[in-house]
Amino acid sequence: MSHSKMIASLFAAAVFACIGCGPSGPEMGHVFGTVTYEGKPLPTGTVSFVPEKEGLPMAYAQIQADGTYEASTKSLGRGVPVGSHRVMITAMTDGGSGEGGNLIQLIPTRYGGDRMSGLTAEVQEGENKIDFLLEK
Amino acid sequence: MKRSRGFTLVELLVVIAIIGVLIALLLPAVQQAREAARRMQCSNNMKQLGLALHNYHDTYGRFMSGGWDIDGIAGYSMGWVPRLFPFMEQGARWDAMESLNNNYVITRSPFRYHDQDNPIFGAAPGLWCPSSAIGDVASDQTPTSSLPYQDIQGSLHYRGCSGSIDVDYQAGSSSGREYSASGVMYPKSQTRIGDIIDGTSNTILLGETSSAEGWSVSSPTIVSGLTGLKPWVLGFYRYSSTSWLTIDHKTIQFPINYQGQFGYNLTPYASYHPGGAMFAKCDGSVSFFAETMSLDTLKYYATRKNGEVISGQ
Repeated sequence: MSHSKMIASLFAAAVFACIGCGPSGPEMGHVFGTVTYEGKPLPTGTVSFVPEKEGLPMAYAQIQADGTYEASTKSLGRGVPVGSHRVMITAMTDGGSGEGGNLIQLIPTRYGGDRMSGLTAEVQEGENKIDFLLEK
Repeated sequence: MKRSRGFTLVELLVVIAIIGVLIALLLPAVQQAREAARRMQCSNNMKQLGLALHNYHDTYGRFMSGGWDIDGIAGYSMGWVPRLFPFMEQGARWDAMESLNNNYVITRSPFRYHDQDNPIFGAAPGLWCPSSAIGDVASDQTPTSSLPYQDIQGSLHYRGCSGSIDVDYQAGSSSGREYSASGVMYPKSQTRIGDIIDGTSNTILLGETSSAEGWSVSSPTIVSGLTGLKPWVLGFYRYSSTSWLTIDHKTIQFPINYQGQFGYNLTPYASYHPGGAMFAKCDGSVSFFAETMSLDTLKYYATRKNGEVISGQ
């Protein structure tokens, strides 16, 4: 085998070794917005997106001090899988580590259940601004 | 033409390239094999705990309770774990506790301030997942005035399942004390195998909670507070006969590997195993549940007699 042929085959092998599988997975949409409770922004808490379709990852968002949130998944990074989701929101503060504990709920606990909250989200590809207006 | 006996440069390069590719293929596989071994060990831990709970059932005719309703006893009490020691070859540990004080496990939380040179309350074999970064003692806990030694007491990475938050909800006297009585292990439970009408292979007995990743994002006390992964000496806290803090057994409200805030009795199941956590079912089998398992299915597995049909997983 001539040297140039050998070098060419080496190069081809290197190219094949470098070609991996690109990122695959469900289509994602960027989801962000504001959560308010009785008209005021919620200062803390978690928004969870529970997909209706089996096998998709759940997406979570931590509510910032100004009430805004931006959702991401643990395995796929920023965004929420496209499709319909049930949404649950929990918001609480720990009232200190005293004997037996003391938990303060900032919103009614029904919002923390995916079947009880009554909140849903329809996520499309691209930008999705979804605001949640919670009431007592 | 006279051929030289050595290698040419190109031949050498080809050999090095081939060896490099083989090593590159092998190295990640070695790491995966290590994780697979740890996962198998974790699965074995759960299997042993499941068998011990079955032995307990054979002796007492019911599964271990989540909390004992003994009037006048309040405070942090020991739960199912120390009560299971005689059934999992840790009888010496049990005897050592009894020798410190009669009826040690039902006396109000004496372990809290106990001499910490005493190894009784340290790491116990089979109660912690080898994949977990937390380790064999509850190292992510911060000592407080009421729990001064919790960071050096033994880890507990396997917790009983009280059921699904959607079924048989018990509100408790205030926020943080809610739990479900739809599972196998909950305060005052006396579940027999015959009570598990959904079928023992469709009902969770224990679940793995060995990771607190993603919990402290917005509330630092979630990890080290009462929601966190407390050591095995902390079982439950009885406020009244209808109001409980459940530390060694949990109600399912959130999916596996949930990231965010949650109440005291609703700590989600989570682990360092990639993509899910281990669960022991009431038939004694241990399965790996993926974190993408639908929340409904997880809740169906949590209830003992709600009649849901679980599609193949």
